[in-house]
Amino acid sequence: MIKQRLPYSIQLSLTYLWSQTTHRFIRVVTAISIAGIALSIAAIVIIMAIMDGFAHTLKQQLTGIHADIQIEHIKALDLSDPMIQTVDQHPSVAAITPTLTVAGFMQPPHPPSFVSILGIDFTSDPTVTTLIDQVQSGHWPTHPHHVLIGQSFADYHGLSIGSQVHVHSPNHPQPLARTVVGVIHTGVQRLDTGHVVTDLATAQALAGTPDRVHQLKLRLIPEADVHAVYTTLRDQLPDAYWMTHWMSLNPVALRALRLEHTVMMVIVSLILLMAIGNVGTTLLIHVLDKTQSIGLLRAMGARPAFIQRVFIVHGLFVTTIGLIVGLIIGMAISQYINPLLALVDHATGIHLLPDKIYYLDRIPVQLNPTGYILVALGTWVATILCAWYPAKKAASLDPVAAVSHG
Amino acid sequence: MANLIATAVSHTFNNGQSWVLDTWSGSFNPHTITTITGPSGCGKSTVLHCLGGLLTPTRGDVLLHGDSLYRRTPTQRADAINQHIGFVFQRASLLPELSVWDNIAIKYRLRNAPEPSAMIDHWLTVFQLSNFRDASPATLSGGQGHRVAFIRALLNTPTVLLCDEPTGNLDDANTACLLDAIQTIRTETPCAVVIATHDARIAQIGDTTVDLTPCPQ
Repeated sequence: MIKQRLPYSIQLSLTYLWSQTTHRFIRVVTAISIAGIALSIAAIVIIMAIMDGFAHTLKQQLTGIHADIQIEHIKALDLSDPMIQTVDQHPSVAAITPTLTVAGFMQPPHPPSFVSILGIDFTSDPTVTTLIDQVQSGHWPTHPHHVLIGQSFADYHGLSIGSQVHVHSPNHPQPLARTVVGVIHTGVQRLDTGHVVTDLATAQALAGTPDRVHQLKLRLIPEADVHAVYTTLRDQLPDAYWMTHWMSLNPVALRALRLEHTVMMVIVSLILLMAIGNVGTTLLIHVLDKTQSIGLLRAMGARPAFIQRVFIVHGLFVTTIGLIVGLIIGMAISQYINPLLALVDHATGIHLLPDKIYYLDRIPVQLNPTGYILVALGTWVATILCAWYPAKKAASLDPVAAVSHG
Repeated sequence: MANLIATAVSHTFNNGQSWVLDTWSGSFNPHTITTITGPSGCGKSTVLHCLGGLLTPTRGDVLLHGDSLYRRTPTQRADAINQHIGFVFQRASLLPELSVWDNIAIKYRLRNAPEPSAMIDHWLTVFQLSNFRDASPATLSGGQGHRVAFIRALLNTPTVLLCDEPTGNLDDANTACLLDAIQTIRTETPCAVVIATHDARIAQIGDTTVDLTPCPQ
């Protein structure tokens, strides 16, 4: 019933697509075309999901540790600075936390090891950074005498939860006794190997700058445009304040990721174009098969544009079936890629993602519906371009020759 | 006024090597049957193709209700064919993908017009095809297919009905039925019927007979 309500060119295309009178050979060629489109689309979906997943994870890692925007002062920041109020009032700023980094020493080990002491506010830091999520063992500090240490540092120096340590600095030679309550693994080497996380007051004491901090970290609301907020604040704050955002902290990694993403998409898009070209070839074969029908349609008074439409729509049907199948396959594989990898690991005994190398024990995946819509639109446009010639050829067939054909 | 006029139509094949028609003219009036006779290869089918808007003559013109058929845009010509010209080809020419009913109704569907179901049922009954309305053309005999093609051609109440050897695949009973239908169309509608045939029985029903003998070289 639905078919009856469609324009006749679409009805005829559907009839041609499923017709039992079409040669078996042409049905096989059509099926191959659909499979080609489906596999190309599936590959695009999987690559997009993985690349977007990596980008998302990288962003989470960078913003998790460094926050969205960081503000420093040419000297040190006073916590009573009115600038903090200005920043806090920005509608896109969700939370702010102060930090202070000071060079110091810690023992054990013996002799004392040089460390960077990162002072944070244990209460507000979890609202801005994801450091709390990086605690691998132990717990988040709740007392000014608690500290966190990096996984590699702990392993190297034989420290563990409950270890008593002393920290001191050139500005504060008297050692301060602290207790290790948590071990963190951020994936950022310098944090994992050489940082000790203390409360803000401890770091301020070691720096000899009470009530002062080095940096304010800003978390923005999810829908905020980091660049826009950065620019607005940059314009509002005097030149003595120095601002960075998470993208400017690791431009090389982001550029590399973007380049890799682009290259992969170009390669797979070329494969998709070949598959769509294959649809064009299939259509040409189809036009040859339907030559007599085309002649009859012309003799019945079908307009050339109608014939052209029938075959363009036919190409779009073939592509759309491949597109839908490809999207389903691609999304299913993307969704279950980690269980599939685990299966391969189990079957072959080869660990494909050694976390010592990649710091990831699973492939990050993020589905991108907007991207899929763009891929679908691009595929349809390319199909129309590829179907144009066979459809034009069909429309311009000599009706007398076509009727006499076969 | 004549429904269709052919003025000095000439047509060549093989890049002018062989002439099939040479300055041929004819006028086809309402309520008339014109039969075109002649030996095989003398250009009977070519005349019908030229008259039906399917084959652009090398020279000359064809006027439908006074307007040139070949000086229209391809879309205008297609619309003229759809609304004014009915074709019955030498071979049963049905679209194999469509049912009998869909084949008959196709002219209406091409112009998004409602199909005359009652009339289709009437002609299917007349030609003893009522049981085949949903059948695939592949299941029909040659004669049945030819009758379906004939219903398709006449259903549209065309200005011109062009029949190329319409009884070639029919037995005597069906030939008589088809000739009755042609007479009915001639009497009841202002249609000009043109029949190309080498069957003497068919040639007799023509009000006018055009003999293409001798064949041009």
